[in-house]
Amino acid sequence: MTFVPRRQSDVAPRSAVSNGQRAGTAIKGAPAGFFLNPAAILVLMLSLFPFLFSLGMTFTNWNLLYPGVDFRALENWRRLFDDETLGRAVRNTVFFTTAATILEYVLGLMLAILVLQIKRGQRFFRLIFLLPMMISPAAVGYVIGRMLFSETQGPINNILFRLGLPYVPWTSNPGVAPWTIVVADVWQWTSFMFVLLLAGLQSLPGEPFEAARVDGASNWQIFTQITFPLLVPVTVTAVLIRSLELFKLIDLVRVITAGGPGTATQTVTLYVYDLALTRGDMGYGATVAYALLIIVILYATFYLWLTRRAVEKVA
Amino acid sequence: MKIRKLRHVPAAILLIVSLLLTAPGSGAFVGAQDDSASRFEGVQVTVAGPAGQVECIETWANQWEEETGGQVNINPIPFSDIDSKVLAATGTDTFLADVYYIGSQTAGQLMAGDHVIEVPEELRDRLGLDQIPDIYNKYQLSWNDKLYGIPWDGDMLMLNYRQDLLSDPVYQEEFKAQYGYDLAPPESWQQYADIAAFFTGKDWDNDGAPNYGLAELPMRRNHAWNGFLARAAGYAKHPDDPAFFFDPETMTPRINNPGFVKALEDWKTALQWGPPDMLSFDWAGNAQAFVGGRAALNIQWADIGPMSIDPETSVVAGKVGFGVTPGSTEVWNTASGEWETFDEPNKAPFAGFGGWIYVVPKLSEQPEAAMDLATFLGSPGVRVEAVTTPGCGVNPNSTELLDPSIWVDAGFSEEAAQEYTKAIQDSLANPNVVFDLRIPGIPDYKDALEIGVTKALVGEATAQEALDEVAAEWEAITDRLGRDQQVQYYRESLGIAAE
Amino acid sequence: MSKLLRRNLAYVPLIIWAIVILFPLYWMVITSFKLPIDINRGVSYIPWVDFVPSLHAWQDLLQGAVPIADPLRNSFLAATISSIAAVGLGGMAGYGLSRFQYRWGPWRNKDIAFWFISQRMLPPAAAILAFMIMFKYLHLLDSVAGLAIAYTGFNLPFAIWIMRDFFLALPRELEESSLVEGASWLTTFWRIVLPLSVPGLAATGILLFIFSWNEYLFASLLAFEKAKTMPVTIAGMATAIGIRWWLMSALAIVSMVPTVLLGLLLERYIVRGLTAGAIK
Repeated sequence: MTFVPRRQSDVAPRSAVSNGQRAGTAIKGAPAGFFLNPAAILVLMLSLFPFLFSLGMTFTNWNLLYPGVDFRALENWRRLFDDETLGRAVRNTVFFTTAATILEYVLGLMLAILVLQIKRGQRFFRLIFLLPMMISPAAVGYVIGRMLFSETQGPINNILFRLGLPYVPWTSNPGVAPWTIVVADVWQWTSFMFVLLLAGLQSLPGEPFEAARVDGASNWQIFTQITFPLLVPVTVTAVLIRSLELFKLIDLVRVITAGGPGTATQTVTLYVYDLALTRGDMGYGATVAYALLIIVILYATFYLWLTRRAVEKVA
Repeated sequence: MKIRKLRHVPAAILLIVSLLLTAPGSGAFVGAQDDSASRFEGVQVTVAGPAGQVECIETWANQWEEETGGQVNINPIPFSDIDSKVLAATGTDTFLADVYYIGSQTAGQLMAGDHVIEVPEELRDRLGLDQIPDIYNKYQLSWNDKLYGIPWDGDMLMLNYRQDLLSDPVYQEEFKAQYGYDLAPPESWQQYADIAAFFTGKDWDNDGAPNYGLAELPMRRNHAWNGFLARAAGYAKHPDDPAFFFDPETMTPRINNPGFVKALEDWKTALQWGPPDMLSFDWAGNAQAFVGGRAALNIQWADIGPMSIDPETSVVAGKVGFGVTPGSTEVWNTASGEWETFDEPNKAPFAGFGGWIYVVPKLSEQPEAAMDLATFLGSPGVRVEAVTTPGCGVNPNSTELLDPSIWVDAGFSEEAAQEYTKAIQDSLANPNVVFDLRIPGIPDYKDALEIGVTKALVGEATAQEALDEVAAEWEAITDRLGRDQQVQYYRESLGIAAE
Repeated sequence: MSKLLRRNLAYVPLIIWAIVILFPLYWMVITSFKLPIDINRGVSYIPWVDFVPSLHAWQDLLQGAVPIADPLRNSFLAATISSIAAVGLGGMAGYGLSRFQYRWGPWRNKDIAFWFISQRMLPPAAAILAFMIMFKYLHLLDSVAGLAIAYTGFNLPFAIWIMRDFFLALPRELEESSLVEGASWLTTFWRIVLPLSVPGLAATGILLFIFSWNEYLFASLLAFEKAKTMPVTIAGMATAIGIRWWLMSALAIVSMVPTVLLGLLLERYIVRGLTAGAIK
């Protein structure tokens, strides 16, 4: 049976994404600058020099160990295109970002919805689900990533073995290793999605849901036609923030697989770190970083443009 | 809500105050109690080194403090960050420490870039340099005949094996029946592979889990470089040729010559006799596999010796034998461009990693005191204690430290002590020994090789393809850094006169 | 399916995920009670049954064999100062972006917001050298103050975005009526908006605190000795001669305590705070 939700545009939480234009009217005497400027100045001061300096580095061959810096124009930039490791790194990074964001979102959403449905123990689950995010990434990487998943010394394969399940080469197989990283990241960061989506769900007004039930809609219809659309603004922000961080994935990879085996789990940021701080090749390292920046800016712009439509449809 | 917030205010104030009281600077009130007028009264020297190892020097640092009135400040840095911190400090002219406790590869780069201070003549006597083998004197501590490094640790990859298993009569019979020769510590890589194959799958500790023939180091960024080259040296280091990695005249990489390729192929075959997750074995994973009793053979540094008798970590105390790394009967001769067959396996011990040493950077704020402290630590008296303390990670680097009686005192049996010291001595004295690469660009060369090698090991490329890629990458690196300069550095590092 | 069954069915996935979370944490806890030889021997799960627990790691921590007071203090100061500052300045900026029309040359509010969030897009490894140089000249290297400033800068974009979302959902009627009655913007902000936004500020604050508390790269390179923080100390347990799992686990657990306590304290705000529904 077709079901059309009643419109609740006034009540839905609006998101900053669609509201860029509608923000307030210019009121006389409003100390607008007072609110924005301190933050803007601080960020500007901390970001301007590094941005320009690092950009400048991309045009040189500066190496931390060897004396003399020479101007090298676009040589570093040209090197980007021949770099096989970089190509693999970009592919891996895109894979990690996509897989982890989607899994974390879906899991976080599911958990948030379920938590709101149960009567007892809500607080308990809410607290437990927050914990992983609070652990230092170094600890998550070593204790959970390496020790737990250690193929011959760790409990996971041991448990699988006891259950009669096959041995999984978590870190020594180039096809499996990327998924191990994804699993570790999902374990830690689903909390983030959970928190934001739980808040979003709790802020939803009750009326559309009651009305839908009165109209006899099924759970699935309620979800797809009311819940999810109303959650779009929160979804957009949460996914954006998490995906931006995932593009810079380095901590887990560095500790668990060091980018290997071979280059199976190499990420761009790990590559930048290696180039700049292990090899001292700041010039090329900065170039790779800026290449990533360009990719991410394109992604974010496109993402925001795409989702703007979706968010406006909700309002 | 306002009232609720106010209640937390006193607690907050208390918290902040107590934090401030523990702030740095309050420690200044509890200063050095030593009043003896001494050279470096009141001077503070900072030593930065790998966390987990540098703390070891505290005992000796205290001795120095009493003698000189100075103060030693130990700054442990996570092992994986040391290189980047040293690099970042060097590149930005920032002070990190007065003394660096670093690996000789990193040190080599600092030496080549003229970032460290030469050890003054008057302090050299302290170091017992005459007891230090040439290979360390020339390659580890000096650059271009100038002494920059203070000796501390000497690295050499060696063969560790389960003495008890190899001399077990039952196994010996079985082995002879299967392979046709006597079971003994392997001299060649072929024998090594046979023994490993033989022992894999047997359960000698009767714990229900199968054991393995060998444990090695094939992980990227965790010594795949050392693991591979320890083997390849036997195949590709010809006794008549001083060069190993590159052609000393053109810097053409040799890494994809048939010697290395065969070594990689053989290595891949041999590695199947190890634990399935060996590809993610870090140093400790490898060590644990052996001292935890799960592997019969092991290629590793000399740390295994002291580790094997440490009851806290080892179940194989008294059961370990030591030897020089196996060699190869088939050796590639670059000069003639052909394979040569040797009667005795060509052994080429590989001093991988080179060892930890001390250097005093030019950025030091207290160079005199720093040099004094460093040379104090590098003296034989201190080194002999360091080398027998488990958990310090210091391997013997001089002849007096290879006196078996020291090791018997430390807990080795007579035989084990003899075997251990002989193995290291033989390795160091072997004329065909290969010292690790120390020229600028080593991180790049290293990473390229490790990527290539691990790709071949997981089957993403054949050995030849993988090493060809590595060679191409090495050429690119050399060109980027300046080929003429690299040739010069390589020759300097080998001690060959420039042409 | 009966409603009762459906209600309780929800517990199943929740309990499964709770186990997924708790098992590694349990593992971390028992590891902190294991001896090195236990780790070498293989996998053991239950204390007193599979292995004999030992307090050696915890003793090391409490007796100062592993320095823990300084890193804890440094982490705490840097994280607290930076999250308060970021929430304060970020909250104000978020409010401004939600109420006023700014114009920076061709840029409008949404562009300004994009500029803020773009600060999070560059891999930090590229910028770290520049920061080192900057801090060297400002004498901020190896200092808690320097870290706090850097973290404030990093956290501001998040604070601004989240608070802007929050303020946009806040109906303007209250402020408008206050202004109509003659109050100035500042008074309105202080008296009306701020109290209502405490939940949102608290929630953002704790997220930022967690981010700063767990930050690694800048802490490792900008604060290498006196201002060393917990994450770096934890990573220091991975030594060249073996990972000291027992100490690392113990340290990680200790490191979790402040964030968990803070979370417990502000937990109800986290959930309620990020929504506008609270106002109604």
